[in-house]
Amino acid sequence: MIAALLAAAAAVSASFEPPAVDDPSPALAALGPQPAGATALTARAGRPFHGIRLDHGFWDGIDLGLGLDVWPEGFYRPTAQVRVRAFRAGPAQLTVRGTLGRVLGSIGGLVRTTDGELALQLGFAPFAPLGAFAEVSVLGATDFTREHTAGFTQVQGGLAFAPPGPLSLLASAGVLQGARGARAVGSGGMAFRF
Amino acid sequence: MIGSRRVPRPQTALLLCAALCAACGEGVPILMYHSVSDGGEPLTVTPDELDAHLDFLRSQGFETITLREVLDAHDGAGKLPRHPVVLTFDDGYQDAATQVLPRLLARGQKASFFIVSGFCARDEASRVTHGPHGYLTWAEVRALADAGMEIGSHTVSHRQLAGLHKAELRAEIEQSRAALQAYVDQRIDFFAYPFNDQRQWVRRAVEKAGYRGAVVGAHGNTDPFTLQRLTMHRGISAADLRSMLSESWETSYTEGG
Repeated sequence: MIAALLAAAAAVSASFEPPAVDDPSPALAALGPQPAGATALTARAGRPFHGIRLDHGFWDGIDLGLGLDVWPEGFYRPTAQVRVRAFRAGPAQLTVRGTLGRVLGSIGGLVRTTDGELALQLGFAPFAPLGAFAEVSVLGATDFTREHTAGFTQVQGGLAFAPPGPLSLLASAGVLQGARGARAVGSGGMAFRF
Repeated sequence: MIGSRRVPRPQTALLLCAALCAACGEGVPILMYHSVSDGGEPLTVTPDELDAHLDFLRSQGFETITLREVLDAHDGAGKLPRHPVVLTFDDGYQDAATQVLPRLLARGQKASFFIVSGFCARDEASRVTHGPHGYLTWAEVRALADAGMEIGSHTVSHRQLAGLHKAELRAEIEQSRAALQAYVDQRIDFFAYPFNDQRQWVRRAVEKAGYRGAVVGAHGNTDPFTLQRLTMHRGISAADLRSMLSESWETSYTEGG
């Protein structure tokens, strides 16, 4: 499966020009934030959400994104996101990510919350096309009542593979921890940068 | 009739802080009922309303469990169902036997009944009544227990515990438990503070008396001796209950792990 995805990425990549922006480390750029002027369209499948997101680098080290997450059992969640690279030194970078989302749609037993996430991500790309990251984040969900306000923490790790060309592959796995328990999270997907 | 403090609506900023600090207590929802009749008091729900609540819980997959099961799971001695909920009925009104029990049994549901032991009469002829309410007889309390319901203590005389002397406090807490255990064939492990008024020294006395846990009102939390309950009052519809029992996707997701 992975080999097929890599082959597909390589085949599609060959027909596109790389992004015409300063991109010294494509793997780190694949992790984000996007370089100034670059845009990435990312699609992911996994748990708890499948999602699609569009990120654009507006300034050096800062990008803004809009996304749509889909809960397989019914509801969806539009999101807005900002990523700020706190520092970059050689093959490593530290990124702060903030995300706001709003649960919409209807599913029994679930309340429509406004969600927030603040994440700190350490990215490392020892080889040009390959990067890895570790990320810790705090999440909050509220519908502005006490009963439906809760906080969570999440730890994730993952890989980014960015061969020459506009396509890159992303994968992550981790654990979302709440007051009642913890559960695995993870996703895999592909980003198209232009 | 027992009152319950209403929690003031917290400010948005505080809520967001609470959301981010990951410190909010999330527990099994515990509903607090009192009387079930067509009387007009705020804390008396109508039989039709109770029907709607119980039907809603069943249709949405909520499984009624006892406080014992909650604490067993908390202690690692059991596992909670996917959508647990605890129903509690305070004061030991007669309608617990005439209105509540048949409805629970018809749906295969269970509840915890907090009984004021001093209000329990030996027989029908000596049944205690306060205003429009009659209280359970010991035979009816026993019938609740025999039907698989959980019985808890709600003191001997339903007085405000914070104002009692130490000996009176101990008597209210310990004698009610002893009386209930003498009449029903189950351990009495849970306590409900009269008027939901919980103070530190009262809590210590409850712990010292050997209870496993205690329930309060909306100002509680997930501490076993201040378990929070949601007040069920007249006018709460099934739609209202849906809102009260709904949870965030994160909570639903992580509790299923």
